[in-house]
Amino acid sequence: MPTQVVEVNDLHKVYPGGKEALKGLSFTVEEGEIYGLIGPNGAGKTTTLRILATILEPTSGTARIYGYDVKSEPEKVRRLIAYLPEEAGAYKYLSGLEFLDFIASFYAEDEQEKRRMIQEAWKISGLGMRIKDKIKTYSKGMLRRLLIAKTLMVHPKLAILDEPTSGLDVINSTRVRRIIKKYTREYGVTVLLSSHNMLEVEYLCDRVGIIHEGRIVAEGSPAELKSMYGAENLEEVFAKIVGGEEI
Amino acid sequence: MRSAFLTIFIKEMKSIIRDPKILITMIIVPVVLTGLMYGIMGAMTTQAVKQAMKPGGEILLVDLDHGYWAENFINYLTSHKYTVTRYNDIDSAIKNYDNALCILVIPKGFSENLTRGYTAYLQVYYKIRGISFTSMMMGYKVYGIIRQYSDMLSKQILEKAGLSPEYVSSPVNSTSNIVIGNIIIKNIEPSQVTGPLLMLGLFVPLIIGLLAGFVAQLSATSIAVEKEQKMLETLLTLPLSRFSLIAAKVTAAFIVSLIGGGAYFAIMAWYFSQMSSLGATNSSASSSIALSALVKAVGVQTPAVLVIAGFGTLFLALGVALLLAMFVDDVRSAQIISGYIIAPLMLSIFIGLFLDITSMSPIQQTAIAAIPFANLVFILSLGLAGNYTAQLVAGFSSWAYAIIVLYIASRIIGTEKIFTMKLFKRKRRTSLGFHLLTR
Ligand SMILES: Nc1ncnc2c1ncn2[C@@H]1O[C@H](COP(=O)(O)OP(=O)(O)OP(=O)(O)O)[C@@H](O)[C@H]1O
Ligand SMILES: [Mg+2]
Repeated sequence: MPTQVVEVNDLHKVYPGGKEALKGLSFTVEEGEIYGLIGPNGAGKTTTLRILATILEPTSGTARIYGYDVKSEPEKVRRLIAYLPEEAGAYKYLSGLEFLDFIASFYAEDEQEKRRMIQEAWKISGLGMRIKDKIKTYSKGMLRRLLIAKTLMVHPKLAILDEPTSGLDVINSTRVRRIIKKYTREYGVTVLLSSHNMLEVEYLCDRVGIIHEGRIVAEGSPAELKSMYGAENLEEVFAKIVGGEEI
Repeated sequence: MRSAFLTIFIKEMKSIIRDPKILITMIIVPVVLTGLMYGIMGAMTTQAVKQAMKPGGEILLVDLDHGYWAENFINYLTSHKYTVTRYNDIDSAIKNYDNALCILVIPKGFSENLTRGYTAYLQVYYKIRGISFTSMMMGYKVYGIIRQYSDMLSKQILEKAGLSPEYVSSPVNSTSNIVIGNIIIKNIEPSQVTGPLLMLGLFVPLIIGLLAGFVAQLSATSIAVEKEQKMLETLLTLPLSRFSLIAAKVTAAFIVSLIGGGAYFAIMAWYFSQMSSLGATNSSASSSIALSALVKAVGVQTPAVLVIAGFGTLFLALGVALLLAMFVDDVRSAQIISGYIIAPLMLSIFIGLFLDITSMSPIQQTAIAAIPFANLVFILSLGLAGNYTAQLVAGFSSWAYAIIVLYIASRIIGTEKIFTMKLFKRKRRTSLGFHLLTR
């Protein structure tokens, strides 16, 4: 039986204001997989990822990463994951290199490993000599590449990526997707990502969970989902399940 | 491997130094402005006092007496470096006033009065030309020289009559001694002990207040920076303890505050030493006697309690700032909100200055010693009053509050609340109006 990296069981989340964002969400991610959560705005993707990343606490239900409960053993979980938030930024007054050094310092065992991480991130980011410039001078695409690089360079057991290509142009998106595909395979990183982009999901994901109003409403590989719903592409599957109105 | 604490600390120092919103706005600009203000004030006062003490200047003289003593007085003036320009009447003197010190009129009968043993009057006309400190000091010069002349004459008159001028000028005199607490210090002017007393009772509390303000502002800002630069979410998932995260931030805030506070302290110390050297008459020997007697009077524990209370106050301000900072999203709001701490803090210190606690009962004193921030100013008076219980309350109550506040803060930091709590929910427009109002 394959190792279960993520195990989410009947997860509920009620925000302080009373909004119930998750209503009994369950799914699993197996080792080495790229798993995609797709769903409309407000479906609960970010909420789910934040709970797994130990930022939010579940109201009820359980979420485990490599068997560690995110609520009771967050420190153990944090050592296994690397998280890329949806609207992440970086310290504007540091250079890209200083920022990588900052992040690597928390993960690396020694100087040598840290240097290895920074070198790798430099390569992944494709920033060239701009890596030495202050982050405030970076474009959105450059920043996102830097952030993807910082997430992957630490070789996490699980990378949690919230809309990794949001706000990027076609060229940058493609570039980021290629980076994700290439390096996660290379480093043997398990990935849990969220996305709106069906193309992205079909290209990247081994398995997909369609999330709607705080629940997983369908799950499977892109091919399985397509045949299950008799659809040409994931977009159609999505529309059929979520019931997107005809224009 | 470098510890998480050190990594965060180094990053904090880099941001503080490089982010123009932090070091420049919060420390360098205020310090430079204060330095300039005190520098200019000091230089101008010194200049004015020096000018006023230096004899000489132009005096417009209208001699209506034409007698022996009028000439004698005019000679006295010129021999003391004053330039005397004569006019026939006061109107023409006024027309030519220009840069003169004053107009001096020697009225008719001046010499006669003096010879016959009556007080003779000189009329001084001083033109107000503005409110500059220098011009006001200059006006007094002439009274000084008249006083000198008068003293000289009285000495001569008394010597002629065979009397001792010292005896006649003050047949009754006094020596000054001071009782403070239950200690008696002999032969000392009150002004010699008020200096050190002010230091303990006012100067040190104010510096602590200032430091607390810095610490509050910097630590609130350093939390808000994480939110504003969208790093909080990432930071909360890194493998580091939240305690070392906050500890590193607070340490950086303390160090920078100490540097800022030190700069202020240096400026003020320089200013006051300039000012006191202007009127310095006391020998340092008698000052050090005064100081050691003073320490005995207020008790050696008083400075120690002040230091303890000072740190307690700093931690309290820090805790409140951290708590408030969790509610805001950006550096601007953090700075405004820490202003809400600093303003009442300073106010409470000032209110403390005007409260006469010596007339209160010991129980009232003890109760009032538990008021944070204000109790910094009470520590000295409580020492003088010998109410050591109240002094201890003042010393440790802030610590108690600080521990409670920091405990609450740490409870929030350890949970998702640090991420979800919000006071102002992205109300851009209203918060802009709000900024304009508070500017
Ligand atoms: N801090 C919060 N407080 C209250 N409600 C929240 C909070 N964050 C999210 N929500 C609500 O929870 C629900 C799920 O939000 P979430 O951000 O998880 O959706 P999402 O799937 O990531 O959407 P998107 O595709 O727009 O990013 C939404 O209705 C949202 O309004
Ligand atoms: Mg989202």
